[in-house]
Amino acid sequence: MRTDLWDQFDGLVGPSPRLLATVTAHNADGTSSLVTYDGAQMRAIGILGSTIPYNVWVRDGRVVEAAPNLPIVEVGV
Amino acid sequence: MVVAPGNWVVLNLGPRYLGGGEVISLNLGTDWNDTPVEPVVRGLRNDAGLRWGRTRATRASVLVGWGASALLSAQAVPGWGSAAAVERQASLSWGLTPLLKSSSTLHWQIAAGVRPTSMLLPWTSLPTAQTQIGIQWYSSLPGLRAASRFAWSSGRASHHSVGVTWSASPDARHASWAAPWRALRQGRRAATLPWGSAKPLPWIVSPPKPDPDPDPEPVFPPGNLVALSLGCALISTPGLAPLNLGATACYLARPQQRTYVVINSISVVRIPDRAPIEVEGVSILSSVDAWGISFDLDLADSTQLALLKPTAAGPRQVEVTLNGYVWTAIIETYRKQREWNRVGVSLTGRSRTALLAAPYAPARVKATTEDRSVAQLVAEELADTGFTADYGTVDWLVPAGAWFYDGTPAMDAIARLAGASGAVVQSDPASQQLHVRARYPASPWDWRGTQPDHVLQEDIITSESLQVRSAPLYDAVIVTGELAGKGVTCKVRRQGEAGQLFAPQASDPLINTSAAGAERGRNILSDRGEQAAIDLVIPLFGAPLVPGQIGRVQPLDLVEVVGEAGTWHGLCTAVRTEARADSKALVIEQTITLERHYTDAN
Repeated sequence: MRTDLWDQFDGLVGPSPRLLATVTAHNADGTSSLVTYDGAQMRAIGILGSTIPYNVWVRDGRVVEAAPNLPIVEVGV
Repeated sequence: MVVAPGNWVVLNLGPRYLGGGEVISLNLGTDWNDTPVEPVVRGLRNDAGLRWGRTRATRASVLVGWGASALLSAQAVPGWGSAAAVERQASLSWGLTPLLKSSSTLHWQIAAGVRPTSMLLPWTSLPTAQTQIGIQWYSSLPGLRAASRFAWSSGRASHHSVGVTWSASPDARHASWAAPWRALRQGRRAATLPWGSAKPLPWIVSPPKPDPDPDPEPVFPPGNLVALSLGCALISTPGLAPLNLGATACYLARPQQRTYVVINSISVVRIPDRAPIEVEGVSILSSVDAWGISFDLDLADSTQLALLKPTAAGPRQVEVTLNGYVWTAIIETYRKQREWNRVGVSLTGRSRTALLAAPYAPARVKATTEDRSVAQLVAEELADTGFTADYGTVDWLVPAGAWFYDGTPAMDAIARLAGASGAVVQSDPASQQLHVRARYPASPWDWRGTQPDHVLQEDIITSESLQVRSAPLYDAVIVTGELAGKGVTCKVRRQGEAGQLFAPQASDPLINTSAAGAERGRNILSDRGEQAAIDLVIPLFGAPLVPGQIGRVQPLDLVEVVGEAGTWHGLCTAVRTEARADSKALVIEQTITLERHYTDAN
């Protein structure tokens, strides 16, 4: 019962995914230009200041923290 | 003065004529210019008498003409026979009428002849008809033939002209009417075709559809091990040998039966002492979205509430048996309602795996120091709890230090371990066991080739409802680890597709290998395309099951629904089993929710 209630509530809120992206430029307005692994160009508020390019976590339009640079594997299902 | 020709001599008595010629001037003793006195001479009357003589001579010549006509009448006498002359005159005038009649008959003959010939040579046959009429007139009336012949020839010409219009106009009418009638028939044909196709519809529904699956190939044992496989239960009839051969005898073994008999039974006992609990109704709900099973019970005897109140050892546990299928639960809440002289007690509970979660289980802290597989990590979480785990999905090696948590009960930790690869945790209905299975044990695009857990005949579905739930047709997703040196970033793509529409990115510290990332991506991509959540209400048949019956369906079971419109597959996502006992009967039904994929499956 309580688990169902939580699942229903969680479904209403909706996910807030944490995106892995690569910083390609630091902008003067305090944003970072990013590109995700699926090729999308985006911007997020916040500059971490590492050497470009570097990976960051983005949540809700803000650069949260630095992300590791992991090996990329392409698989088919 | 006018000079008359011939033998006439003009006597000029004055005035004098000077013209000359044949005029003789005769002076009678008077001046030429005097007006002559006209003498009274009686002799002139003699001249007049001479003029009268001429008139008689003319009459005489007329008499001669009559004499000749008498000769003609004499010739006519032998032709007309013995009839009187006057009567012949009258008969001649009347005789024209029969001749007209005879000519009219000739019209008909010619007209009849013209019609067939006019179809081929209409204009050449007309002159021939006129000449035939003329010959008829010559033979019948010699005296009037000349005038009447011309009149009749002109009459025939007019008749023939009418005949030509008749020959032309009926043909033109027939031709002009035939064309619109043909057009109308074509319209009727176009209207007939849809009716033809609509007629077979009731006939398609009426006959029972045979089993679409082909019969399995018979396996013949060796010669020394020949056995009779009758394939269905023996039916003994007095006087008949119990050999159930053929479709008629094997009627009870057919997948589609005429009647389905289910004998419902319900039993609730308290464990571990197995004290019986009388209930009026039981509702059991399980879902893929929740690891636990929830229970609702209505007590028939309110005094038995004391048996289910919690003690110092914790909540009471009950065992519910519906048609032979067992569920176990812990009773967590109860509600008593007094209504007149009746006291209703309803209780709620959860599966016993709730003891692994808050508020029963403690929050713990953990960080691995050695490499462990996910199945081992799950087993570690259940150590010393009395529960076991059935890990049934992709397993991979988690490096040391990659699995850590704080303030987490065991069930939540197991749910995180399972969720890394897109799996879910399910509680076993009866035993103290957890099942970790992929959210999609088989991908929807593989459902048609997967052996289903249940084959559901459409006949036993008593209620059906549908809710569309669709998702974009993703064909790729990025799944990435989160720990440097202990993870991979997987670009998972649906095989055979472009891989350009990416699902939302997924990340987890436990995506340590590509196998984990691929399994996580497969479960993400399985939830795509046109889908529907279909609720089916079916009875709960007790074991042993015969073909056509279906037992307890649990979440994540793949169900193949065989219906009149075809066979389709659905993944069970939720089951609500309800048992209601009243004065009339005990009804047990299970409402299963099937996730049907139209795009990837059928």
